[in-house]
Amino acid sequence: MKAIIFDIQKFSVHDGPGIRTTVFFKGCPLSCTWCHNPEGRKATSQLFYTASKCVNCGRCAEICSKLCHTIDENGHKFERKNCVVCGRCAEVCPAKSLELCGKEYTVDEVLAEVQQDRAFYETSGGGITLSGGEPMAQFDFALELAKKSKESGLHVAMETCGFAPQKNFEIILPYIDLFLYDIKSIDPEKHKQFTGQDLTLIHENLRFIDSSDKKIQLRCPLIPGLNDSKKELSGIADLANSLKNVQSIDIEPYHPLGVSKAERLGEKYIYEAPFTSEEVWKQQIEYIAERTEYIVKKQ
Amino acid sequence: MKPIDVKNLLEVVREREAECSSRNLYSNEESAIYLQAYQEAHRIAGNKSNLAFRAELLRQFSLMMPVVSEKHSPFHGSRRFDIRIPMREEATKSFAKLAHGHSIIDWETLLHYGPQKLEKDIFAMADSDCKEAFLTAIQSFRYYIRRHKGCEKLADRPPVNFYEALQIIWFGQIFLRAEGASAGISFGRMDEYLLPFVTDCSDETIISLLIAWFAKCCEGDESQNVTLGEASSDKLTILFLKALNSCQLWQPSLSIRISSNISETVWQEALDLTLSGSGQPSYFNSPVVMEALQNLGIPEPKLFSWGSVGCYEPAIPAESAPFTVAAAISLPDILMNFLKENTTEIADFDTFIKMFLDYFRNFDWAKCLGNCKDYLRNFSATPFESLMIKDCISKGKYLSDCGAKYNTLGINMLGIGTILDSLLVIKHAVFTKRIVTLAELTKQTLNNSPIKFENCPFFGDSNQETEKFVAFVSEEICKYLLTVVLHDGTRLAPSYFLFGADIMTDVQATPDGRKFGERVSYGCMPSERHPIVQTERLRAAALIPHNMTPNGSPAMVSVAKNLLSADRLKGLIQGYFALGGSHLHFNMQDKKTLIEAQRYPESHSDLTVRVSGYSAHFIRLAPRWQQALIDRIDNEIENK
Repeated sequence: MKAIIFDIQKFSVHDGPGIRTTVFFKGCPLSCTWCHNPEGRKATSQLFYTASKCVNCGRCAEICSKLCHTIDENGHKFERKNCVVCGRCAEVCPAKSLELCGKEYTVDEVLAEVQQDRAFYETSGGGITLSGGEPMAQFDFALELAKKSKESGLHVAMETCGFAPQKNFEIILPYIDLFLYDIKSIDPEKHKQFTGQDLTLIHENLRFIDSSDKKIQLRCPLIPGLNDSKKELSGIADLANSLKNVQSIDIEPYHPLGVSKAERLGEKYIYEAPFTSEEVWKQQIEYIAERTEYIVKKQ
Repeated sequence: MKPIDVKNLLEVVREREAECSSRNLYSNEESAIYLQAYQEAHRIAGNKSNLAFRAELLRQFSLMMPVVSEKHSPFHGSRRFDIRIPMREEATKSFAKLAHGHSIIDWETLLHYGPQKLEKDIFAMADSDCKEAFLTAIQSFRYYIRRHKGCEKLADRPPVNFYEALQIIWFGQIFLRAEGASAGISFGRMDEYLLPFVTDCSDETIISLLIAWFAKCCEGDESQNVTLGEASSDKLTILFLKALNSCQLWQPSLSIRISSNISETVWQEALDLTLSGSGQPSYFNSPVVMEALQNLGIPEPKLFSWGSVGCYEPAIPAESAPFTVAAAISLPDILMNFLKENTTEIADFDTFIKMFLDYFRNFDWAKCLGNCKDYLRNFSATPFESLMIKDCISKGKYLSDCGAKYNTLGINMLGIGTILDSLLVIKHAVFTKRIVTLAELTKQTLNNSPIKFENCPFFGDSNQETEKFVAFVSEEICKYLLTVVLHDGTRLAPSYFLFGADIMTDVQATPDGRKFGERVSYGCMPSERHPIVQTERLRAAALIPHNMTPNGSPAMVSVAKNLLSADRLKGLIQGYFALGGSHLHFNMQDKKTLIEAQRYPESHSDLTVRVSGYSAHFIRLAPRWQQALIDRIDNEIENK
């Protein structure tokens, strides 16, 4: 069994407690307009092309059988239309201007890499985090990885958007210690509008996980102008208050890295948010914190 | 004793630092008088032995130095004199290069028996030059103490309380500096040997006295180490950590011994201090350090007493002459010399690596470093330091003449990460892929145009084959050096570290693609050229044989402080130590803050950073050093 993984990030300190290794699955059923990881949206491999790194050596043009790369007096031109993402151009690119994003792994290959940092997990309370994209979108692999991780004594966290069949959550539950559960909006209409998917299933799954007494950290990306109204903020507090296993509400600041990443993938980035000051973040966190007993913190 | 106004005391220290633009708080007046004392000693004893000259220097020092007792501090005596001035003033061998020092004297004997007992012991020695010099030194010491009003009794009896104990240690430290024993004279396990003196003191009193004493330590020296942890009580361990955290002074360097016996409270205090961003304390893996010292021939019953000297170097207090910074070698230069000198065709990489290691072994280390030791014996004969080391009095020998029980010489090796990368490049490009010949690679490197190869293995790549190779080469080097014994019985103590040289030395280009003048790898760590994360760096650093580097092999984590919580910090330390690492320290500053401090130094005069083996104010560092610290910080851990 294999899955397409777009990164295995060691020394990860943003995705759960302690020192962790986060495994990023490729492919996501949501299409958030502000997506921080546009390379995680498509389930197949993609090519990053960073024009500023190109040294115009022409090696990509020599090796590409689909003639996607051309070099002339104006420099390097990359035409994606006929590209089948074979990755051969990335292999020969000396400047890492072309990089393949997404590689097939077996469960054992992922686990072997995760185990390398095991010494650092044990005393920091860390472990493995399955993230993405959406790990539940490659369910069989995620299940096997979580199972084997748990069997080897690792703390297992999963970051999920919650948009997956409930029976799958039921099956994977015993192997997950902590859910990092994304709340993109509490308004069903806005949720549909900004993510392309319905909120009902996501909330049902959240309540199901909560009823199974699994630990949950709510992760709320606050996107200036989209989901940071007072109504949304108090809605986050209300949602948390209706659950019994919430450990914290983590407010995730918008960061513009998605813009350049989308550009390097040759994709259009839908929403570029305006800058939010630290002061505003503080106020937003305080606003939620006033309405709930749970810890509210900036991620 | 009246209460100490800590706030005022710290203001005085900071004003002085600003006034003299030096982290050593040198005073021109004191330095000038020290120079006079030196010149007078030279006039009287310049043609005598180095030991006799230094004894005379101490005599002149005790007569001429002004008595310094200041309102803001309860401690008497000042060390704001610059001993390097005589070296600049006249080309003389009276002071050996500043490569001496770095020892831990017998503070316990001084504290429990007092200087008069030492004088008595010296009187009982058979007549010799040593006896004469030791006597002059101890009598000068007692005279110097007596000149300080209120301290007279300390010349004639041991201290009776915590304040007096710190005061006599301070007088001792001034004298060690005055005789020109270089830097880094360290204090050993203060949280253990000071315990008998704290019975009647409140925690507040101890903390304020420690802060006042730390302020004194900022005068005239750096890299003086205090070793904490594994004491019979946590009381002083915690108070030392608390005191430094509350004052954020840059001296002394606190080192903490980590083992399974460390309590949660000590952990918490140590981690809090680290999170304050001052670069203190540094953490040592006590069982591994002891194993390394055992490999150097230190017998088991002595191992537990180890303390850290200078920046990183473990040594046995009171009984050893460690000379931890006496010898330095650049591994990249040795590799380049080998490549230059080798003209034969080499069939495969196994033969190549065997030839390189033979080249390393065949260098006449015993002769070369024997000469280095002779130089120390002839020109770095320190009577006061010697009489404060066990056995020197009974043997009638001074420290650099093997007066101590354990005589070792530190061999500080620069750039293990850089040569491991270079060897891996040679393996990959010359022997495996056959992209280039060895001659061509050498030629290009010597021309400062090292070739860059794609997909080449490197130290830190988490590849099992690489890891095996790294462990093999780094172990072979240490294994050999540990067998070398000099003509006087001195043993070599290897370390993968050469203070400051990774940043401040222009090392020739190497086959790993590094050009002349670019930084080489730090301590036992992989080169900073590779974009790998901190856990990968530490896993790689743990591959070198820390139990074979008794002179210390530091690793450093540089991360913006808002990124690491206490549990993650502890996880990094314990994880690294579980893998076999011996020493870890942290630079936890935000990149932006350091860049701002570079631009606007006047607004960042208090910004303390970990330099390497000690902490210092950022704005006082050389620009090249500032830039290295900035470049090495992982400011962001990618948040996807």
